[in-house]
Amino acid sequence: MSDLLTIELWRLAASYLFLILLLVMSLLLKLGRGREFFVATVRMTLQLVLAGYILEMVFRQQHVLVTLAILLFMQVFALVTIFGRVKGKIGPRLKRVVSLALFVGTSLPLAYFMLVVIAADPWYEPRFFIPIAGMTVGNSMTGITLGAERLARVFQTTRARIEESLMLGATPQMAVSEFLSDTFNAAIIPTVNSMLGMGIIFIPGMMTGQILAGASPVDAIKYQIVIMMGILGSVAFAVFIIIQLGYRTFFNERAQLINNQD
Amino acid sequence: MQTVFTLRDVSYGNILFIPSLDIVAGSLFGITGKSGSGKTTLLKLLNNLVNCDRGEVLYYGKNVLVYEPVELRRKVLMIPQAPYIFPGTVLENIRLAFYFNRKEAPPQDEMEEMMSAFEMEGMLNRDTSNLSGGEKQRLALVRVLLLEPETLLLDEPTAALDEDNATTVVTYLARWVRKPGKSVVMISHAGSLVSDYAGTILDLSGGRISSLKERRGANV
Repeated sequence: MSDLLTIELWRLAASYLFLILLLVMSLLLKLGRGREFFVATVRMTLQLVLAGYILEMVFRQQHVLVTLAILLFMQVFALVTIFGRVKGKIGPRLKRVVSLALFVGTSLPLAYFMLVVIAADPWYEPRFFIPIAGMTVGNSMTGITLGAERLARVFQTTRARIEESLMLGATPQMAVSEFLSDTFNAAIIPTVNSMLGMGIIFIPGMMTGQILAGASPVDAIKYQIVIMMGILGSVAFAVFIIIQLGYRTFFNERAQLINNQD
Repeated sequence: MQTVFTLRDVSYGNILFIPSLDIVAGSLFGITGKSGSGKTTLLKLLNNLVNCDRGEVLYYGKNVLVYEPVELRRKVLMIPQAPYIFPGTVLENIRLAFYFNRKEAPPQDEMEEMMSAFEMEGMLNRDTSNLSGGEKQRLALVRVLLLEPETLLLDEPTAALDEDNATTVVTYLARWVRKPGKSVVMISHAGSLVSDYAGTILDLSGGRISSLKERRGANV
């Protein structure tokens, strides 16, 4: 990696020209969002600087508990983000399922990944573990949000149909199975779509980073492929948990459709 | 006389209060009352689509809570006031109902026979989006009658029908209920056909029994 690219500070500063351009445009177009753009840039910068220093420290420490604590932090942060987005749309029982889906749905595929696919030594090698955990948790977060929102909407808009099915002798599972497959598809389609365009329409960020840092593109794609499969697996797994356990929260033990979600 | 449903001290929210009610098996039992009088809630209590807050509902002497709920609903099928017809053909609707009951669908000529009893012959392959309101209501009946339940709960089954079709439906039900082990509980307007065919008519008002009339001269 002799041609490893390091960006000098003044060049880094030069990249903020784009923010100034955006602020000028915002003024010209009277968008009135200059403050938002500025805050977003500052937050991005601060968060990344902080992440950079923390990761550097974690990579040096190589401690299993520190690595796991970071995973937990990411999961909790993702959960808070999901709850923020679906606020008022899902009840407490579905929220519990969302939490379970996020923790189990990301941890298990991640474990498989570290132990079997990457086979890192030690298995928690933070240099691999943390970026992969980040991508897994981030993508599952999107899938789970889509799945939970859609599931809640199904029970709002198709109540009559579900209730009719129950009256006709259907089990809750039979009454909703069609909606469950729709929900599953809707929640994993963004992930599948991103695979379709990959390498042609866009070069994924991780791969770009590796190539910029001097890795051979052929090595970079191996990692990218492996990571995409990991993301697909964990999104699918998390969404599956949401759907299979989630629909049950809309019924009680007497196979009755319940009104308020508590 | 055997009772199909027995209600004791039943209350549901502030919608329904029934101190005591026996519904005789093998009869057509009519329920009348203004909207909001608790008629539909009463039906839903009978197939355990909702639980009562207090008291108990018995089906053939056994508390409905003792039955596995889905098994109970397969014995006691209900048609709501505005039945939901699934997208697809008439035939697919019938097959779906059989799938819900984990039963094998009957041969098509058997379905045709039931369809023609409700003046819908030759419509098995019709797309349900082309059915009129009255046809949908009759399809809902065909769908459950083919399943041969023990008991039928019907919420205004003739509401969308013209007089001829309404007569067809009610006379069919009056005949059907004479088969061994069958019972029908049916909501209807006061003064409609039901009063001519029902063995007993329960009138509800404000969630309470306003009157319970046995009709000895009924056509049943």
